[in-house]
Amino acid sequence: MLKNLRFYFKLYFKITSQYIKARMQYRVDFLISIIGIIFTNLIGIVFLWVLSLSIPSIGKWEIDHLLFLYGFSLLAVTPLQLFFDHIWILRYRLQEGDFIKYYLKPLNSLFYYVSEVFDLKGLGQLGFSIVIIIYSSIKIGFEWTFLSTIIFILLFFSASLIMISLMIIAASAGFWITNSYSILAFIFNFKDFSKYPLSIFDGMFKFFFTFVIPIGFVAFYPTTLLIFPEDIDLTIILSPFFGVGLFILAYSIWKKGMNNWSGTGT
Amino acid sequence: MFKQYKKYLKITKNSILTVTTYRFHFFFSIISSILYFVIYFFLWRSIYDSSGSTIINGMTFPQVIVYISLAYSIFVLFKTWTEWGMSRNIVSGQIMMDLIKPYNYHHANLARSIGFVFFNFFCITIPIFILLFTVFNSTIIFGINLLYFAFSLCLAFLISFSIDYSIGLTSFYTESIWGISITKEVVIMALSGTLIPLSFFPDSIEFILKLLPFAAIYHIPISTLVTPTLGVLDYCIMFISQISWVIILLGFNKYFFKQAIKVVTINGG
Repeated sequence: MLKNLRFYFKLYFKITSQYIKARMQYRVDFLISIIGIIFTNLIGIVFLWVLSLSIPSIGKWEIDHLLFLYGFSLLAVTPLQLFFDHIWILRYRLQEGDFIKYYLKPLNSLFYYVSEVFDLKGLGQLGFSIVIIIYSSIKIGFEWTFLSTIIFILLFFSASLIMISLMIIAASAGFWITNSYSILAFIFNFKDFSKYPLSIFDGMFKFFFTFVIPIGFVAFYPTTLLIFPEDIDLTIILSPFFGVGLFILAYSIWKKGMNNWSGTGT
Repeated sequence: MFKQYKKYLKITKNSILTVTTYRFHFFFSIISSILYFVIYFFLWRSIYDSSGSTIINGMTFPQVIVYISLAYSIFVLFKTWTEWGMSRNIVSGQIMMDLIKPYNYHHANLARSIGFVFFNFFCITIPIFILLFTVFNSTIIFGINLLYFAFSLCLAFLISFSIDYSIGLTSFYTESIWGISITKEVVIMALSGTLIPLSFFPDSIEFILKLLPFAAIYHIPISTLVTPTLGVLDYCIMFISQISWVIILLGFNKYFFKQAIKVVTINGG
């Protein structure tokens, strides 16, 4: 098992370094993409900043708390951006039939598929979200003790698994309907819900975003646990289970989809 | 005179036919738009709740909702993927076909874009409008201003298209589009009042933003619908600023195209 893990790690580095070499041919594209992704993330900050000129807080969430939530939500979707960007073009692979190659190698198919793209522009997002988290945690007086750091990392892992799993499920729809782009874009938009406190929504939506599409676990519940520990309720304890459970579900749907896909005959 | 425009009509018709094949996509676009309203409805409601007053920066809650919903509807309406199409043709070499055909490259793209707008209008904007009217019918003014709105919207489309087109022309140099197009999109969203009504910005910034072409796409058409106090002079100022942006951008694009076409290299064919 451990040996297996090491093998896959090594393989990932090999594949990724080749990919980066290839991408480095398009330096201008890389630069513009990094600028693009930083701008996309900056817009949320502009929104919060303009808002803070008119109102001091939303409920008990002051502007710096909201900034921390925003940073956490960005950080939580960064692994999706970095490591899973290949799922966006699954539709082309399925349409053109070259997806067949992922059946033929003695590797885990999901691993092999996503390892082929390492999205460099995601690094811009990574840096950006870390800066926001550090800045806002200083502002709100969040203490980075050993315990809180461990909790932060654990929550971050399960949070990022949730968005990854949802996107894998959405992409897997492609095995049945070929072009899953609309569903992917639709699910991807849900990440916007995670940037604001779930407490602003009415009961029905709150339930929906906790249990049906568990977007609340991407940022709201983890952030609440970190900065308003007195508000903690039982839901947050579900967080790691949601992450891992959803991922198992997503993986089995992927597997099922692969068994279902009939190829293009080429 | 009109005969030479007939071919562009054909292009528009073609592009309508092309988009109708993506019905699935439009179904999800409508649901995504509804979700967008859900987020911003609850967000603004909680903002007004926690501020304790019913008016912030001179706007009530229903006014803000109508404003950003209209802005978003226009945003969706004008999403015609112009720069994506242009950059795709540059990368694949298809642009050669555009250049040797007996039509103007700019006009052909405009005609294609109009086809998209037609489709968007009936499949996305109308459903959103119906939703808006049934939920918040009170703050939109009906009258002669609808005529001004339609006129203003046409000018806004020309501005929006011109910006897309010039972004598309940059892809002649970069041969990639994602980064620059997404940057354009968020800059417009932030500075045009789509995300937050312009009156929420500090006065000095608001003044500058109103001079930019982005406000001419969103803020001006919306103002004709939601501001009851507009006089003749206000309309004149608004239309003059829109028309001058159209002229400036069209002129700029004409010059830019001449420059950009020089760097195009087409592999094989």
